[in-house]
Amino acid sequence: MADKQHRPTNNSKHITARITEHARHIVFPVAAYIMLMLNADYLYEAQEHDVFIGTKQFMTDMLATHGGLWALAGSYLTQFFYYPWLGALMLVTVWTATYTLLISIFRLKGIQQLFAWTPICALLISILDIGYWLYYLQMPGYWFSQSLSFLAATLLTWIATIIIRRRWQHDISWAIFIVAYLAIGQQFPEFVKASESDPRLQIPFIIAPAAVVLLPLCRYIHLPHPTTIKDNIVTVAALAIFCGTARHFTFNDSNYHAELRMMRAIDRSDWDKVLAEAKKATHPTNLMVVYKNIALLHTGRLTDMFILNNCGTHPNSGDSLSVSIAHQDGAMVYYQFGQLNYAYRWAMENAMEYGLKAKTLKMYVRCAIMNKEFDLAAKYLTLLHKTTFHRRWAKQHDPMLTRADALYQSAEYQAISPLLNDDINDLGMDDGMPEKWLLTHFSDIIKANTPKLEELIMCTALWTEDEYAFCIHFYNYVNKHPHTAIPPLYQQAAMMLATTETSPVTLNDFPFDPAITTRYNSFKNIFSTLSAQNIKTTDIGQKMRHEYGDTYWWYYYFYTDFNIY
Amino acid sequence: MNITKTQLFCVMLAVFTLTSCTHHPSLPATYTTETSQPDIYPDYRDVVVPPNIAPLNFGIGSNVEQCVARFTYAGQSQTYGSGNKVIIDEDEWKAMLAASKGGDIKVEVFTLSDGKWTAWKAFAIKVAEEDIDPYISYRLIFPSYVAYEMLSINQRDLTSFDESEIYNNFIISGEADGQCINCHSYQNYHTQNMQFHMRQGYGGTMIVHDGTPTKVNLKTDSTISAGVYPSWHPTLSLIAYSTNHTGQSFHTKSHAKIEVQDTESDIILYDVEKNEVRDISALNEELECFPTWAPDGKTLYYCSAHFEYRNDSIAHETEMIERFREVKYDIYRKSFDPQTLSFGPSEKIYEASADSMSATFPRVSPDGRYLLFGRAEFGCFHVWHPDADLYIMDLKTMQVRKLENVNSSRAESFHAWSSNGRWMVFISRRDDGNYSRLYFAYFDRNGHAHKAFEMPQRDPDFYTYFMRSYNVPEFMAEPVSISPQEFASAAKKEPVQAMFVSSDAPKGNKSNEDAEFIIN
Repeated sequence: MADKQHRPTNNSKHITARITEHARHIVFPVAAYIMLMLNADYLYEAQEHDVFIGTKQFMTDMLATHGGLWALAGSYLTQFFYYPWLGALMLVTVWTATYTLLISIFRLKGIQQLFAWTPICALLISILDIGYWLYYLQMPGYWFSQSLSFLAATLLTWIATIIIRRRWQHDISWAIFIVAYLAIGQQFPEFVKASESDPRLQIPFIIAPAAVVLLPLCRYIHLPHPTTIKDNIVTVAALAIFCGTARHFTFNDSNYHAELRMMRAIDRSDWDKVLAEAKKATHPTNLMVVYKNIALLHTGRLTDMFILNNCGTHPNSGDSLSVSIAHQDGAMVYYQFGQLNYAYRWAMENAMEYGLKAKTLKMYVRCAIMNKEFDLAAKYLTLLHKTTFHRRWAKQHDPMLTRADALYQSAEYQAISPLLNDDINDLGMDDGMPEKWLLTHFSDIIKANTPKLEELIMCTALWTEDEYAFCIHFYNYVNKHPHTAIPPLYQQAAMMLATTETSPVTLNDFPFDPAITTRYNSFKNIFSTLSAQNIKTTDIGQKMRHEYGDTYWWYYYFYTDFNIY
Repeated sequence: MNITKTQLFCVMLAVFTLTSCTHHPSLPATYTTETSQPDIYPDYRDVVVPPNIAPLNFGIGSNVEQCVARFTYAGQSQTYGSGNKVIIDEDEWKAMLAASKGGDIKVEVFTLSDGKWTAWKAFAIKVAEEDIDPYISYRLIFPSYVAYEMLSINQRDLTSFDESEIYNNFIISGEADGQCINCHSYQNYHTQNMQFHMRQGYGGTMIVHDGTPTKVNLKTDSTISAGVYPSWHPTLSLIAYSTNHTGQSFHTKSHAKIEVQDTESDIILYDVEKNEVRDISALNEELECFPTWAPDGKTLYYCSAHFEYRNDSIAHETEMIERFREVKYDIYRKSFDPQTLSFGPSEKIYEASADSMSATFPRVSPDGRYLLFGRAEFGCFHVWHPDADLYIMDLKTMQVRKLENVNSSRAESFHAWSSNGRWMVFISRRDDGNYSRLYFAYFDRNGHAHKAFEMPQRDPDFYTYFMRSYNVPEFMAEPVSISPQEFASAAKKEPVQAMFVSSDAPKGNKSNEDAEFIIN
């Protein structure tokens, strides 16, 4: 009778304990999933920086390399980041399976199981901490391959324990794991770029197996007088450590993420999205400025380039890595400015150095189509048709090879083709600096055959502060368009540059807009007044930014840190 | 039921035999007839092939659901076809070639699209009497610019699909000390004496002499560079090299994309046994390049462009880039005395520059009768020039003509003769304009070249998916027997330094008129 009275209470405790136990298995994968999804923009770009082509040749070539099996499997699964939620779900599934096998292998119970999340945390960090190394990774399928090989080593260990079925097996399981881990043929990741390297990023791959080696010791950890509440407190604390650690090592630079979002938007010609990102940035990188100006160029608003922040900064890539626009997205930058050969070149250079990527193949197609090299485009499209998620993109581009109307009416052709008409074949080099080359190239062009190219020529002369080139271009522009309203930007610049004694042209009689003249005079007066007070130029710039930050004058006088990389 | 091991083996053998049998499909019963030939890839229609070549497997357009090809030869016929590909059994193909030597194989293709069969106009594959050299080697390289990755020199058995690596640059080098490998060549088609270059990491020239590899540093204080474009003397242990100061730049608009230019270049002779280097030609205002021996070893052919730098205020590289269209190479030759190792005066035998053209990469046919070379508007590195075509000079009449059947609207370059002179190999970008592929052409006894065909592959789609280019194809009588690991061991050693020996080779300024003009 007494037993019967206590049964509900015991049942209740039992159920609570079971819930706690299940929660321990669930909250960590959920947390990992959330952490991944907070970096969805990065995950999407990860699959763009990788590729899986479903051909025998691709697989044979991949398998011929050291660790090729894992690279191949990793590349296959990485493509699912095309839908970040799906890829993240698959990655978390791999980790959860690893965790489940670990607690089975080492017979971990209760809070001991929490320690099995340690290697998973290391693997999560290995995904989220690479930052700008995204552009320099030379490990196909990186985002899955390490987790997959870790799971495989764990699975082999688990199978070994099933086969051995001896009491002492659990004491040597860690050794079996290490043997399996070493024998599985995975390549230890190296973060190397020319003479630069970052051994810090290798630490998770040491911690993960090391944590497994230490797991047998966890079986000796017990809570004194365990209760469900104590269990829950420990679980919550472990979860906080798990999330806090992962968050701490996640590369969270806001410009980095903004660049990734802009990159994706540029790829889809979503100019509004690019400009929305540009508006949010307070200290944009040079690449973000370039992206912003590409969006303005293709929406016919390049003369607004100084209204949005045009003062680029160097990316915060950490101490161990120097970043270059050429490597980040040089091909796309060149392409959007109509420099197809250089775009193709940088797609190829980066593929050589850092492996073939989906975005590389798409860039090959774009350049070949715009260059009217249709046989070449067909080759690359055939490869893209063999991918899981990019075949739709390929299908959209197929008609451009055979139907002129499909090509000429495409938004991309209409955006790029006006920039192809400069009729100049230069032979030269860009020294690995697309931004510098583009600014010099366009500001040096004498004759523009299209209004878009004309706008680009004038604006790049201002962007690069080439006074001489701008004055010539402005003089030609005014004579060419005698009855057209001159954009305020050109008037701002001309007022300042072309009315000086050193100007190669005379514009003293040009009818500038009185409002702009008044504003310029006001700018000069305030600048003179503040300068007379011996205030440093940079401080004057900050004081005047609110009122004049949208003018070319402000950019010309106060943006002195134009550091091309 | 007990199954003995013997029974199990028999069952497995039967299954294997059945599954490995070549499928010979039936011809369609009804079809419509098309008057044009089928569009097949690679294009093997009406080509002349050697009697020892691997099967000419081909594919037909992706809209074809099913195809059947009937091969009729010497009173026999056989059918092949699976999906939109025609894959021929290797043994059956060999028998077919043997039976057709000197004759034709008639190929009729039937295709199924939208549920309807079509019979296309038949084409012929003519089988020549003369074999092609059984092996060929080439470099595989991504069509890259500055960066490179995974270079290899491979050898292919042309009678089958077997391919192996002679050497690749990843055996001993990594990211930090990347190694470029190039310009392999052999003495008179044999691999016991051969060479190739390694640059940057573990740099040097790998000289194989009597089967022993040694790494040599051919750069001396008196030469521009280490050896670059090589040519083994056909009988002596001598190699003629160009030495080049080479730069690379890029076109913004031209489909040529890349321009490779020499700002200075000379020609040297390397004595393998004495490890000595001497000048052959080192004129200041001449860009000498691409030496090649005549088969008798008594004449050295080469190219040279007359180029005078005008502007001392800018670097030669910059001036060369600015004036890239002005660089025009002509073809010269020098007599050679094998006894004294001395060369005669230079003799201009083809003045391409007079036609505002540039001639490069001369190669003399094994019978000494013909000179095969490349021609394009300017420059020396024609492999990227869409207008680059192959030309031939009859050294008996000194007449020059374009090889009409061989060329395409895209670049042709890096040509070589087979040892019997009946086959030529060259690279062409005709497939897609960007990836160079190997093409072979029959050169008959009357001096006519026939339609070229692409090197056959087991899978007709191979070239569509293959992302590397072929270059510098060289025929070989036998495969290279030294393993990649043996080459790697030799490469890891410090190079043996070659010694420069002064010679009476012409040096310094020399006006172009000094060269004897033979033919325009």
